[in-house]
Amino acid sequence: MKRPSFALVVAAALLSSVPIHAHHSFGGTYDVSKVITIKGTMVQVTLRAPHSFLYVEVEDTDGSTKQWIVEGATAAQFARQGIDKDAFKVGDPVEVVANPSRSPNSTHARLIKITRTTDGKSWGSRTGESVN
Amino acid sequence: MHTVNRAKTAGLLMLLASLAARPALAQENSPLDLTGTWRWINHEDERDRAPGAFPGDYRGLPLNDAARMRADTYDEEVNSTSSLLQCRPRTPGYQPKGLDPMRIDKVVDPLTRQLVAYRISYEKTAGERVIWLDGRPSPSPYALHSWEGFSTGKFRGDTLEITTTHLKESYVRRNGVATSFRATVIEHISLEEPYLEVTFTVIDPDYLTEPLVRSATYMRAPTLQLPPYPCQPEEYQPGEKYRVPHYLPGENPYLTESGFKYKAPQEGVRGGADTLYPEWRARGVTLAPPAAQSTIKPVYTDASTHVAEQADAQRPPPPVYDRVEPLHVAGNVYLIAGAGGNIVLSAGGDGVVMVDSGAAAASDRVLAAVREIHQTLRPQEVPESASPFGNTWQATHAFPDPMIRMIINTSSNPDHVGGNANIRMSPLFRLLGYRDPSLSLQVFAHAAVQRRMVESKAPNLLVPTDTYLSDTYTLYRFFNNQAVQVFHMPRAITDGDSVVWFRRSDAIAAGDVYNSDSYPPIDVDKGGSITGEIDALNRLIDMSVTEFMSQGGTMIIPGHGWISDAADVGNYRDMLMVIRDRIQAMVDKGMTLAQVKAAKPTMDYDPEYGRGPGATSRLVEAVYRSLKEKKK
Repeated sequence: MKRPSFALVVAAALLSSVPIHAHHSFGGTYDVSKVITIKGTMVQVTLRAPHSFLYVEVEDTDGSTKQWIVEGATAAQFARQGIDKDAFKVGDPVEVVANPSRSPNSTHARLIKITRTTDGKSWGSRTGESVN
Repeated sequence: MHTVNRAKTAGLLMLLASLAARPALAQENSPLDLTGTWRWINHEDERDRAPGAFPGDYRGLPLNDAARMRADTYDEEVNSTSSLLQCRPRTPGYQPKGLDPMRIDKVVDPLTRQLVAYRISYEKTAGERVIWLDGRPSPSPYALHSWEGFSTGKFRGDTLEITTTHLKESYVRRNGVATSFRATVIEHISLEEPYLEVTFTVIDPDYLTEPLVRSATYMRAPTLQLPPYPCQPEEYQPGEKYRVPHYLPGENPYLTESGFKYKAPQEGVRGGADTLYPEWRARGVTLAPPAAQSTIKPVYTDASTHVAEQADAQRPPPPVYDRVEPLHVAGNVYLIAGAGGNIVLSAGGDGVVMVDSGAAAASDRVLAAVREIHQTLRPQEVPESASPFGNTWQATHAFPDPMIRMIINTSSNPDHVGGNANIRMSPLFRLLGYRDPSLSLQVFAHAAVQRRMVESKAPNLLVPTDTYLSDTYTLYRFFNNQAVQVFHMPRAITDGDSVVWFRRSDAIAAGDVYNSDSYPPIDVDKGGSITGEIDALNRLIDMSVTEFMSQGGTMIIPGHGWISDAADVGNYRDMLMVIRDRIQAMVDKGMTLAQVKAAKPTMDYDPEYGRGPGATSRLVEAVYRSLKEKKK
């Protein structure tokens, strides 16, 4: 089996670690030193510029629901990485890894990785992650 | 032989003739060619360019205490909650730190073939930024401010120097370090193929104590094509449309985050001109970084914290009306500035509807400006008229003089109603509606304006003759081919404020509900309140549509200041909401008015809005009183 060239590996690593093109400051809005996991159902997908939003409804232990608003890359950047309107759909059960908002009690978060739990389809922004 | 000689001679003559017919070499007026597409190089200021600086990280910025307080209380989440900020483009004072590729094109005069301007497009900007090289003067101080500003350029050797004014309020770092609408940006662009070097300097009299000089490098990218950027603002969480996230002074828990993470002394992280010089390093190395991330209670003391006191200490200058200036706003709507309060008018085939009349002492110049608009500024190719009937009759009849058909007063403030009498007595005041002028609309305002002026025994000719009491009042017919609607803004500056919307021109005369460069003169004794004022600004924003990326579209003419759009009003609204929340917190703690004033809750906004004598004190008192009365 032919092994990928060193240059290709480096290029792939560089590409996958390219920061999301920030319009506002992600570092200022979200606490990037913390990571949370959100498990719920996708209720809205808004792919747009400057940033996209995924709305995930999470059922609490008492049966009530809470809506999380997960902010991600611009629509064009998602598209370049193979995420379009059909990648994740309303009704999909998803697990989202995200940075929480700096504002206490906020249900806003910054997308790091999303996985559809039924078939494992995922997208991630960390080094080594991409569309799977 | 003769034949050969003749042929040689003929050939020589033809050669000379062809040489003589060649055009003279074009005059070179551009020592370097900046045209092409350019890709940014991400080799410096990584946090500025990608994730954004941590809150409280002001390293390398010569900011003053007012800027520091403003940034200390800033919450970046506001860029998400405000639909007017989501798609806000960068100004030239920050743009080179963005991750935008750019394209530069030439604008060439088709007759002289000389370079007259460069057009610069960035990926994430609303339109093209034009750098005028033809020596044109700067626009009026009352002209619209934009994200790109107004730019002129001149070559200094092999360097293009660009000066940009008329900018909207923006930022120099994406953690709340603001730039004022008074800022100027100077750029120097030079070429070292394939690199384009930009040195950009922000000069901000309100928030910086020294020019802020930064640089960025682009690389030529001939095949790069800027992608479209359909930026779509959204109310991303229902119910948050009017929320302005911010921290109360002393409550931001993140101000030591940067120092802690970078192991940098907090004094250096707080920035300031002193920390930029090599001499400071000797001191910096003796200071320890924060041992942990904690909430600090900053103290603000420098000159920028005394703007209001300095303004109060000044004797108000006598009003001068020697620079009364007419400006086109949009469609058939114009501004007459410099006559006290701003005067807005619709001018066309049906005559003139005038919103406010300025100060009495300026009336002669105002009438001259109306004539000037009528004669020179009115678009000649489009006769503005009320209806198809008007198009075929009125519009084809030339008026020897402009006819002022009515005045609409936005409030009873003297610099808005002072000219009522002089305008009414002028031969230009020619009423519409009835043969008996006393039956026609003459001077129109909300009923509360008339009542207050009668109660204060204002001269009869100043007092509105016609009033309305409803939420909205629409003039009985189209005027200059558009609906004219008057909206009551209850309990804003007073209880009788109106804004006037010229529908087809899409321009709104806002009166003193919105002053682009000064605090609103809320008068609690006349029924004004901070809550009503913020409601009025929200309503103005809701009535408006921006053209693209939080710019243009509906024009909003303030009671004082420059022609604006919804983004400017949004900034103004945000400022008042922050001040309201701060004073509300003080009221909740039981602080007295004197204590609230001493705490300077507006200190970080005073350099921009509090430069008028007494303006800050009046605002703080009005907000305090209206919140106290609401609490009762």
